[in-house]
Amino acid sequence: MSGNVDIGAVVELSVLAAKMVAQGIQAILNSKDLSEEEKAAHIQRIMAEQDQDTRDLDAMPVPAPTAPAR
Amino acid sequence: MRSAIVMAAIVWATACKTVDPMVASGEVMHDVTREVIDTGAVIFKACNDHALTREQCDAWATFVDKFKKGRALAIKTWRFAVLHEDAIEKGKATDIILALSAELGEFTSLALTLGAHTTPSPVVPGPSGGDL
Repeated sequence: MSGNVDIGAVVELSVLAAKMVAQGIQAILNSKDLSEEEKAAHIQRIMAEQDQDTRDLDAMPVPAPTAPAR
Repeated sequence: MRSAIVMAAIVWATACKTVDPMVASGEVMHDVTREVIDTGAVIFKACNDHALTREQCDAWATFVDKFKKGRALAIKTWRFAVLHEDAIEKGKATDIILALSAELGEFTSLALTLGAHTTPSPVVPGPSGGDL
């Protein structure tokens, strides 16, 4: 993949990635196990999100493919 | 750089919500799918505005098709894993999504770079998908 790269944007993204990893590790350190009820509720919510995501993904516009040269 | 961002996003998204493995793998699938949809809006606009090459737009369209098929398989596998509390199947579902997200990183990086120069506008999907 080619294109002009904005160095400022790349540096900004590097900082963002580092912050996200730090936050993730902190969240793991602060976490605790889920009860069975909590887990079941999460699973139900995730399944509902998956159905909605499928609808959104199917509705997402995609560039029409180029016709192959003859 | 690209894969670092994607992996950071996955670590962050997963850890901030829960560390239950079954729930976490479902969360990752959701987060990666939302990232595809967000990236798709930016790339679709850029393609219509001719800000990307024909090859880049074709590469995205090919990836989306691959992602939809892979995601469908991952969800089917994940739901089987939930029903049967099968850690191996859960691992397979996560592997599929992580493989797709590694590829997505290239496009997300491109979309973020485009977003640094342009403000994406909401795209209303038409019945035929695209109008290139």
